[in-house]
Amino acid sequence: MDKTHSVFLIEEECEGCTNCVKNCPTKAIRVHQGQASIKEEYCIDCAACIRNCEYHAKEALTTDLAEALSGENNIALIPPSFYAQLPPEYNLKKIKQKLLSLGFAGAVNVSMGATIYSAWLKNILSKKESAEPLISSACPVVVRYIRLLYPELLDLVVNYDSPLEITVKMINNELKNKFTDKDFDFYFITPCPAKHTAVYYPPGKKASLLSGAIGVDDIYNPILKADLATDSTDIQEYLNNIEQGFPFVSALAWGKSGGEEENLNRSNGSRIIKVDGLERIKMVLEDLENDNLKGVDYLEMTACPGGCLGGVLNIINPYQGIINLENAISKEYEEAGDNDADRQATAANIIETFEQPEIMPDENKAGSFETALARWQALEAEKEKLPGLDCAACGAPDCGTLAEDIVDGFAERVDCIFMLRQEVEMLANRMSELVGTLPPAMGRDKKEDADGEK
Amino acid sequence: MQQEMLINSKVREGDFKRGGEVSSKLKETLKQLDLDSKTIRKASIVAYELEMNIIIHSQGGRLKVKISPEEVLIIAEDSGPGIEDIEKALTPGFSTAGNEIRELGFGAGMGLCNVNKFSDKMDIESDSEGTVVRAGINF
Repeated sequence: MDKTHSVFLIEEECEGCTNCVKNCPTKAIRVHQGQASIKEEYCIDCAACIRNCEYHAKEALTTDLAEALSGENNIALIPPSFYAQLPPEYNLKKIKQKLLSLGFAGAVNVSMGATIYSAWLKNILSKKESAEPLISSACPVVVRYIRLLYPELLDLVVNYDSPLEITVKMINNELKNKFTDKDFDFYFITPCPAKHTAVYYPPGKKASLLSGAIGVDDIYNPILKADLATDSTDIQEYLNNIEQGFPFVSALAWGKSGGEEENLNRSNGSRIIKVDGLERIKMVLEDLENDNLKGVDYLEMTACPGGCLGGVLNIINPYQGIINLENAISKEYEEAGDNDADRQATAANIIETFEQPEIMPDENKAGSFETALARWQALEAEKEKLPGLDCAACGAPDCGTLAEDIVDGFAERVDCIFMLRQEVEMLANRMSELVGTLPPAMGRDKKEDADGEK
Repeated sequence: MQQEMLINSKVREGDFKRGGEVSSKLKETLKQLDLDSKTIRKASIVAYELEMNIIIHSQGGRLKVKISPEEVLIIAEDSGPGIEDIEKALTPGFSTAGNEIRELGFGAGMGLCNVNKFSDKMDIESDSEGTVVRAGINF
């Protein structure tokens, strides 16, 4: 299956209703011939359509667990939000034992990368001179959304790998040094479709170091049912050592909206705003575009309401998730003791060794001014004709989008039920007119004509 | 020179609820025109500041936007008290806005200053009848 996007349609389940069309934040979906179709170039894998489809016709493509386990030396990456999905007795140690029992050679916690990201950001924010805020690059949906609809703000997106990629990069280097004869495959346990897509098409990067992303919904039951591994592996022991050198506990908060803020505020007076949910993100970006958001240093943005806890593949509702995650964090703190804070320096050292990726800008669309203006004029004229009710019966989310589709040749004016009615009315009028018309040879009342008024 | 009127909208005094509506429409239009993202950003800021200026300081006016192959031209026309001292009005932080407007988070004295900063040319005509600000952003 094509991996450009994780979100896909199960054709036989689609009823052709327009719920997904109306709720898509990038207007990427149309219903034609009673079937939804996704315009690939606009889809950012935000999963709004998965949430909104009553018929469960939208699904997320993720890596099959069996496929992930088929190779050797597979490492599972555990996101902080995953802790919150499991019963309270599941601490990090237990999750790892379960993953080993399922067949993974090792498992690590992604909050290590979040620790590095936070430490690096503190540094950047303390040196920041621009009045404009920086935007977190942790959520791939947000990065894609900005790239697609607010490209002028792309410069503000933090030019740094996501915590997930940082974690993989770090442990991959370490593992390769230790186990020189082995190659490793890394699989993320993903709460959302976008992280699966980011394995194949990471936003702003050439390639990801991951081999796949397994959906939380697919691995949940196997984990609950798996036995606890009694023996550890060399790889796992080595990974535990790396992890122990890290202040990873506080960064577990990254699983929820506000987690970045908590981690950054600890030692820094930066002014940070957390924004969750694409609707609110849109509001903030609009204001940012107008230079109408002052005195903010950093925007923590997560496309899902509640942050990663709100990921569409998760099991537990995001509010219960907050409680579960906070409980899990307290427990891990008890285990880690005070070491967590002491280890910050280690993270700072590792940052130095990191090469920073470039976020690649989109190519500018080439086109002449005249062509663009002519298209705009045609668009305005088309909008003028359409009723402006945004009923979506045409299969496009609103009249403006239908107008664009008409101008670009993807739809016809009579796709609009009101325009169709108007056409029928015109046709009916013409028909009744024609009915009253007689052929020229018959059309003259001779007598009347003789008495005529000529 | 080919020139097209993209927007010609009324802006009411004191209408904070609709504040930013015209500049949002402009943004959408410029994106449809496939303009360079930096130009769109500058035009958005300029249009927003001018729109808010009409709302805060005037007795109502119009915001017009024209486009040509060379530039986006944003024209704010209002009737109102006019700007007493244009040079002063361009000083960062200088504001004649009253307290209730400042309480809303506006009137920080950056409006015209921002217009000047983000446009490539700007002229202001103002008398006791009203003000016309023209700001051009080159491609």
